[in-house]
Amino acid sequence: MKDNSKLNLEELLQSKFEHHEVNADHVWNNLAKQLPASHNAGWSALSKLAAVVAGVAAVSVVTFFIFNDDSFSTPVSQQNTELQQEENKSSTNTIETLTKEIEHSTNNDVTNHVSEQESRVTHSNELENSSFVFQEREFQLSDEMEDLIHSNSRNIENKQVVENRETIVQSSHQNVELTAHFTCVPTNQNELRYFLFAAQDGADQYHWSVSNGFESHDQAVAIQFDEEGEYEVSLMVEVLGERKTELQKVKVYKPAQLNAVNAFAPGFDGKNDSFDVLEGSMNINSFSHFTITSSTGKVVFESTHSSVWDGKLNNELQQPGSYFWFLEYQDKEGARHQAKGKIQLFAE
Amino acid sequence: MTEKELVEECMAGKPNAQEKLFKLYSGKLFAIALRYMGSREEAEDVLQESFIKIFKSLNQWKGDGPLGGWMRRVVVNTSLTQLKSRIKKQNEISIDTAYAVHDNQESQLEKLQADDLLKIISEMPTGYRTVFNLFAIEGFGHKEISDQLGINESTSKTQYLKAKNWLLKRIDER
Repeated sequence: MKDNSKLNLEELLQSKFEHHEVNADHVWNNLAKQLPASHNAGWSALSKLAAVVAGVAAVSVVTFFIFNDDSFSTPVSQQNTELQQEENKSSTNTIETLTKEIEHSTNNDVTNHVSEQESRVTHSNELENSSFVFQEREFQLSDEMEDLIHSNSRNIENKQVVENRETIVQSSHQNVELTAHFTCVPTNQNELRYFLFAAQDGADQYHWSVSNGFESHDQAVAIQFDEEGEYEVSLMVEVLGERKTELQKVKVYKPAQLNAVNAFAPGFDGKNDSFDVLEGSMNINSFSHFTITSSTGKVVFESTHSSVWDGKLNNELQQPGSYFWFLEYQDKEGARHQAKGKIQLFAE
Repeated sequence: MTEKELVEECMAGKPNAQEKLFKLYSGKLFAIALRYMGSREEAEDVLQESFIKIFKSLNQWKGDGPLGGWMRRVVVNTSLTQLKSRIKKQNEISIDTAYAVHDNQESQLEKLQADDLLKIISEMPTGYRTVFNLFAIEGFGHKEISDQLGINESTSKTQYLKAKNWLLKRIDER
């Protein structure tokens, strides 16, 4: 009989929970921020831009030299406009043949660049994505080059354009390529377990260093602190010899916890005479509102400063039974929380 | 889109696909995490950590078994990692005075919704709750549970009986 009923209990529970669901949509927002993939997506979009700009820079530099060699060496300020036009034409022709070569080699460069990046990306299935991006790069590259050639033949002396573009390239290149940014989230605040995750994917080196002496070289790190407090976490990321470091101060605290009793007996034996909702609680800084209602919804106690109920309303002991309490409080870090519970009042 | 295509898009790191996969399974997985962790906050952490693991290691799912089952295992394992250190590794004298489930308790249980049951289970002491979940609902044997949690087999049995008695007592109190 015992075995039978035991089996029944388990089967019953299993069937109860088989299709049980609890909505967790709210977790997504937090989670999405921590997924390396979303960083990947942002990164590849940015690196696409960087590659385009880099390609343009390469072309500009080369064309800059071509003009330097061919046209600039000859005084441009010639009186004969026909001659100038002719010269322009001829240099444009050379540019066109040369830029084809350049285009070719630059594309090769981009290909190398892309495949290098791909090998860095841990998810090899990004390939499909990247090759698409690559095609787009090619397309934009030749477009940009044409623009550049036109503007150059129109305005040969405008070296400024080239220089400007170069500075743009350099600054955007640095911003895009490397980030030492990281996220720190508690995985189990009760045990001071935290999870650190570097935003940069596939770096040559990660170096975590925490002020409690902890060090690691992984992209993602689980860390357990021994004591509450404020820690300094620094992450150094190295990609292709370039390094970046970020420092964050991380507050490590156990979460606020209420351990209110669920029953009390006022006036019975001098023990458990009153109900203190904060008795046995941990990490609670202050509370702003404490209410108790009867099972019919009548408010029997309300306070903004006292966490203790003696079971009375207007000096009159309330009926035995179930009461419900509601508490608004702040934890150590100042975050507001709400809690509720049931308290049983026993008669004398 | 088939499940396999969705997984492939997730592996390619497409945020839309990842959100879709999350929305598809998070309800079920959150219910499991809640059942193990007992508190909403911790269950959210477990769910989050599990999904980070899931997205990172989707390529390990070979497509032979159901995806839901694989994800469920990730959630259970993540929960257990969190709970392990909290379960005391002590030798307990085993008890065999388990109460039988009375008919009225059984009918009470049948009336309960999964949400109410979850609430009761989440109030169990951690050790009881973990073993109870693994044995009664996941259907593991005590040997497997003791291996998983690093406790004695007898401890697992004792904890289960205690958890069951605890549950029945709570049912009676209702």
